[in-house]
Parts: sequence; structure tokens; C-alpha cells
Amino acid sequence: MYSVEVADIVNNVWQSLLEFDITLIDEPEPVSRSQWALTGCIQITGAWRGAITATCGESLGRQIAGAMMGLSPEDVTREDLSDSIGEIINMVGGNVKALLPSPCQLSLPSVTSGGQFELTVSRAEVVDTLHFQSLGFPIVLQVLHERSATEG
Amino acid sequence: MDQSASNSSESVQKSKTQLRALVVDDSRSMRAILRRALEQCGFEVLEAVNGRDAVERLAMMRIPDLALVDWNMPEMTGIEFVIAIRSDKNYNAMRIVMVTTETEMEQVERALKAGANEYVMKPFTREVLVDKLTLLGLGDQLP
Repeated sequence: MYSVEVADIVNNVWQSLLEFDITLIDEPEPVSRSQWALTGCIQITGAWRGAITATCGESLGRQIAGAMMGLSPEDVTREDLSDSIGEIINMVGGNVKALLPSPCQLSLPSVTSGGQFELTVSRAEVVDTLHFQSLGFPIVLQVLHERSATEG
Repeated sequence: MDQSASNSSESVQKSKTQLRALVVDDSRSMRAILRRALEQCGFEVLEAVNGRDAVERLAMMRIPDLALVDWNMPEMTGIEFVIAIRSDKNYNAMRIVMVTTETEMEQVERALKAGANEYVMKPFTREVLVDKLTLLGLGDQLP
């Protein structure tokens, strides 16, 4: 779907809010699932149904939360991490929503964290995966679309 | 009385009265961002975690000059908060700025119609926030 527009939105969130760089990359370094990771998810319902997720490791999560909370990364708590990633995906989702057919509604963001977890959104499939790098760490953004019964 | 002396006296008087802002957002990270930006602008900042919490806190405090209100919150949303507050004329002077990811103009128009004075789209820079505060006449004390 709107890969270029979504990448622009992510870049805008990083520049405006976090004030550090983020780069879209072609040859991604995967976010290790064997280590502790963090996934923020926001669901979209209405004329377009699906979800947007963002997954990063603890190191980048701490940098993001530190920038948002005004703390040094080592002083960030797990609660700060979840809240910050939730707000980031809320912001990305809110701006992506403007690209989608109207009317659509956003859920409140949810955040899952831990090691070796797999997040699935019921009846939805991944239609776009964008790999970014920020401060030397990977972050992956995925767009999931729920096909309607008529779409098969 | 000399007009310039009068203006100067008014501005000294104003600078002695610290403006107060209520930040209403369920996200602590967003509250932290808004708190920093507003404190840099010279505001005393108070916080509430959703619309219902804000209504309850407002009932127990001196009315702030400004409320910055998120849209999408549990228990009571931003738009529900605006409708509730604007039904009470005691809060007529409190400026309300919606801080929202709702980029569609019809949603913004709904908030303005309900009584919000301005809106800021997330993500925003401090400069954007300062511009909005200036538009609302709250820019006098900004550094």
C-alpha cells in the first residue's frame, strides 16, 4: 500500500518528536526475536480494516522513551517503554488513517513486550513491511490488512 | 498617563502572573513532552490522565488559562471533555487546544464546533505549539 507515504509519516514523527534520524533501508537487519523486543500495535476499523505495528529492541526503545520522557535511556522504566512505543504507533496510525478510505476509527494502542513472541491480528495479513534504522538500531513497521468476505 | 508607561506596567503585571495549563492525555510520554514544552514557555503545568480525570481535577482547582487535550482517551475522550466543559460557562475563558492525530478536517471541525479554540496535529514541534499559543493570546510570556 502507501509505502512512500507511510515512510514519510514515520520520518516526520522521528524528526518532529524525537529529533533524531531514521532511515528506510533495503537490506534489513532483523529485530532479534530471541531477545527482549517491543511491539506497538494500533488497529483500524471502518471502511478499511487492519492494523499497524512497530517492533524494536530494548536499546532503541530506551532511546525513544528517553527522548519522549526527558530521561536518560538507562533511567527509563518498562512502563515508560510501553507508553512511548504506544504513543509512537498511535501517532503513525493516526496519520496513516488520513490516507485510508473514510470513515475509519483508531483503537487505543496496545503494546506487547518480551522474548520470542509472535503478534497476530485476527484475519489480517501483512501487506507491507518497512525496515528502518535509527541510531544504529533496527525498527520494523508492518501494515496488516483484514480482507473482507467479499474480497475472498 | 503616558501610554508606553501604562503598557510597560501591564506587561510587568502580566509577567508576575504565571499562566497555568492543564495537559489531558492518557500517555505519560505525551504528557511529559507537553509539560516540557509548556514549562519552557513559562507555564505552570498540571496533568490529567483522561477527560473524566480532567473534569474532576478542574472542579477542585483554580481554572487554568489553557487546556491541551488529547483526542483518543479511555473513559472520556477529548471531544466528550470539550462538550462537558463548554456546557459550563465558568470555563468560558479557558482556552482549549486539541492535540490530536485525527488528521481529517471533519474531525477538527467537530472539535472546533464543540468549543475547542485551536488544534495541534501530532507530531508537532515546539514552534508549532508556540504559534498556536500566540494565536490564542497566550504568547506574551513566551521566551
